[in-house]
Amino acid sequence: MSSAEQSGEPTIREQILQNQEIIDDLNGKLARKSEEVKIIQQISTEIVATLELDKILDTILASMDSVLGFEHCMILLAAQDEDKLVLTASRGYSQSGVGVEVPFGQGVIGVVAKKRRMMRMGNIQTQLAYQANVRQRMQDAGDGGAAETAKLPGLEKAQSQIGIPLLVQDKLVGVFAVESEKGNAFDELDSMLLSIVANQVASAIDNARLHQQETERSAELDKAVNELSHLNETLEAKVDGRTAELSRALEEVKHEKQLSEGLLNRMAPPEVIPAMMEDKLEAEKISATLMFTDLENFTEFTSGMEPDEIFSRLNHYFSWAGDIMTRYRGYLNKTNGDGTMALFGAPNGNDTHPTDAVLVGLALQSEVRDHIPLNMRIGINTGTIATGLLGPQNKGLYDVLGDAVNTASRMEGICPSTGVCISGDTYELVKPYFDIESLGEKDVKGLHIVSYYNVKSLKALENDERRVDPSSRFAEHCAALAEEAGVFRQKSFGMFDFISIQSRDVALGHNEAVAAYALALFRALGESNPELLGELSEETLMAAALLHDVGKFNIDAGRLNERSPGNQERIKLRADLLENTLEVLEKIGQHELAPALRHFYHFEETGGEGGGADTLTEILAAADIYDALTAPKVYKGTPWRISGVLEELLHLPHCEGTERPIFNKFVEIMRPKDAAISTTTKTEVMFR
Amino acid sequence: MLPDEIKGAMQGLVPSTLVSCSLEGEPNTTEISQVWYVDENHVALSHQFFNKTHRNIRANPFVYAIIRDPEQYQEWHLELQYDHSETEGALFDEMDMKLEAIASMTGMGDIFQLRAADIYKVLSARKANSRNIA
Repeated sequence: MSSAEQSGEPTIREQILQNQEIIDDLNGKLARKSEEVKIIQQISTEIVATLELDKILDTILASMDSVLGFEHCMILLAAQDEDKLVLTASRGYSQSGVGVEVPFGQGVIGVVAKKRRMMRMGNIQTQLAYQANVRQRMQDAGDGGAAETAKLPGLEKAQSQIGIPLLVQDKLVGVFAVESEKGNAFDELDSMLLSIVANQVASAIDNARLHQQETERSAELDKAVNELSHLNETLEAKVDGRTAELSRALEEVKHEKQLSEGLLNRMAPPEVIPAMMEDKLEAEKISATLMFTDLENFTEFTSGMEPDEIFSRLNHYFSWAGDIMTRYRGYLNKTNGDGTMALFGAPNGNDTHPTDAVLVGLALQSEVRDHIPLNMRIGINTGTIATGLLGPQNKGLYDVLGDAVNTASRMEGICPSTGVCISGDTYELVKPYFDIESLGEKDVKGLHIVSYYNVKSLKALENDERRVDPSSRFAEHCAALAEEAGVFRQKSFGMFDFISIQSRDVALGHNEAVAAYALALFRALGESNPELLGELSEETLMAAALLHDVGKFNIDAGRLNERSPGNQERIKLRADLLENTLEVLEKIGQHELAPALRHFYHFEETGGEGGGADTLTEILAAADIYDALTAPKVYKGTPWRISGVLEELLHLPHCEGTERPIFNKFVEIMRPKDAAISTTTKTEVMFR
Repeated sequence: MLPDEIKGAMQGLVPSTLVSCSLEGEPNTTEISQVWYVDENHVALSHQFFNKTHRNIRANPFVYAIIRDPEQYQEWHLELQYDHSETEGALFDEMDMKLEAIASMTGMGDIFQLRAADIYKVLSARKANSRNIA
C-alpha cells in the first residue's frame, strides 16, 4: 500500500530514475556521514586536548553550534551525592541558566539522568497540551493533586529535545542536551552523532573532573604542607627558643655550681665535696701526716702596711704554698693568720704521705724567700686522725681531730727558724731518704715528752751506704759523678720537677743515681772495652738515665705504689709508663731516645729475650736494676743488700750463658774492692 | 507492511483515535497520545490506566486505530490485533522514559505510569482520503 502501488507498475525508465534518486539519496547520506565523522574527530581532538573542565564544556558547546548547527545546547553535571543535575554550561540562550538545578526524573533531561538512557523527543508542547488536558480533567473530577512542576532550564517552548546521559563506566557524569523550537528537529542520525560525541564528552569531563579534583587535592596538600612547614618552622623556633632558655638555665646552674664548688673548695678537699654535697660524708679514722707552717715576725713585717697589701701578700704566699702542697698530694686545709695547716694522706689515704709532707717542707723552706721576706717554721707529725665535718648543723666544715694534729702543731711551735721539724713518728718513716738531725726531746705542753728532728735535705747518694758501698770504686767518685749528673739534669731538663715526680713512688734521687752509675760504668768501659761504646755519648746516656721513667708523673700514684700487683697489672703498668715517657720525650724534642728506651723496657721486661741488647740498654739496665733494688722504699719493704743485688745482676737471665762484659764491669765498680763476689748463689730473679 | 512515510504520524504530535469493541459488540472510542512504531509489522500502545479499552482488548483483540501526520495532512487507518504485553526491554524503557518526561513536566509523573507496552500486529494500513480529513 505504498505510493508505488497507487501509480501502478513503473516503466524501466522510471525504474532507472527511481534508482538514481535512491543512489543520490544514499550518496548524500554517505557524504553527510563522512562529514560528520570528520566533525566528531574534530570535536574529539579539541576536547581531549584540554583537561580544564570549563574549557572542555565551552569547546563542546561551540562545536555543537558551529559544526552541527545545534543552536541551543547545554551541559548539566551530576551533583556529587545528590540525585540532581546542575546546569554547568549552556549556549544559545538569552540567560545562561548556569547553576539551575534539575532533579532526577524531571523533564526530558531529568529522566535521561534517572534512566541513564538517551532520549529523543519531538512535539513536546503537543504532548504537554494533551497531558495538561488529562490533568485538567482529572482535577475537575477531583482526582488528585498533581505536584507542582519545577521550572526547568532551556527554551520556554522547546518542541524537540535530545538528552544524552554522560556515562563513564556506568557512572553518571551528567547530561548533554540539545533542543529546538521545531516540532521534529532531530532524527535518529542526530541522536547517533550526539551519542558518539557524548561518549567523548563524558570521558573528557570525567578526566577533567579527576584532574580538577587532583588539582584541588594537590592544592589542599600544598596548603597542608605549607601549614605543616610553617608549623615546623615555628616549632623549630619554639624548640630553639626553649633550648636557648634551657641553655641559659644550664649556664646559670653551671655558674652557680662553679660558685658553690669554688666556695666548697675553700672549705674542703675536692675529693670529699660530692659526698659533702649529698651530706653523706662520714667521719673516719685515717693515718695521715699533718703539717703546720708559720711565718716568723709576720706582725712586725706587716705593721704599717695597708690592709690591702697585707691581704695581697698573704694570699700570694698561701697560693704558692698551696700549689706546692697540691703537687705532693697535700691539701691546705686551713689558714690561721699567717699560719697554715696542711693534710697529707687525707682525705684519700696513700702510702707516701710522710715523705710527701717532708718534701713539701723542704721545698717551702728553699723557696719561701722568693715569695715573702720572712723565715718560716714548719712542724710535721704522722699519726692517726679523725676526719669529718665539724661545725653546727648544716655548717660543718671538713676538719681533722686528734692528738696527732696537736703534736704537729707543737712541732711547728718548737721548730727552729727555717727548719722542717718532724716528730719521732714521722722520722721513723722518712729517715732513709733524708739527712736529718736530732733535736733531742722536749716536754711539750699537754703532751708527753717527745723527740723531734730537723730535716736538712734529701740524703746525698754518697752518704747513702745502703745504695753505695763506701769501699767500692764508685764511691771514690760518687759525689763528683752525682754532682755532674745533677748539673746535667738542671741544664738539660730544668723544666722537670724531678723530686715531685720521684715522690709519687718515693724513688727519691733515683734518676740522678742511675745517671751517676751509668756515667761511671760508661767511663770504666771506655778504659777497658772502648769498642763496646761505639757512637754512644755521655750526654745520650745521662739523658736516657734521667728520663727513662719520667712518664710516671702522669700515672696514678696508687698504681705505682701497689705493693703486690698481679703480673698483668705490672706488665700493663710498665707499658703505660713507657708510653707516657715516650710522649714526654716527644714533647721535649728528645724523640731520638725513643728507640733506646723501648729497647730498654723490652730488655728489662723479658730478660733480654731475642738478644741484640745494645750497650746503652745494658748500661741503663744495670744501673736501673741496681738502684731499684738498693734504694730505700719504706712503703714496699726492706731494700736489698748491695752484695745480693750484685750477685743478682750476674745471674739475671739476660746474662745467662753469654759473656756480659757490661754487667761484669758494673759489678766490678760497685762492689767492695776487697770483697769476693760469689757467683754461684742464685737468689730471686727480679722482674718476674 | 508499514511504509517509512507513516512514521510522521507516529510522533505523538496529534492524538490518535482508538476504537475497541467488547465481546458483546459494544464499541468504545478513545483518544490516545501516541501509537508507537515498533517495526514494519508491529506497533505499540501504552497501557497506563485500567480502563474500558484495556478490558475490551483483553476480551476482543481486534482494534481500529486512526493516526494523523500533521505535516503531511495525512490520515492513516490501521487494523490491529493485540499480540502481547511487554513490561521490560528496550521498547518498554523508551516508552516509559518519554511518558515520564512529559508527565514530569506537568507535575503528573506519579499518575502517568506505564504499566505495560501492548504490542499489536498490524493487519492492514491504508491512507485515508484526504477529503475525509478535511
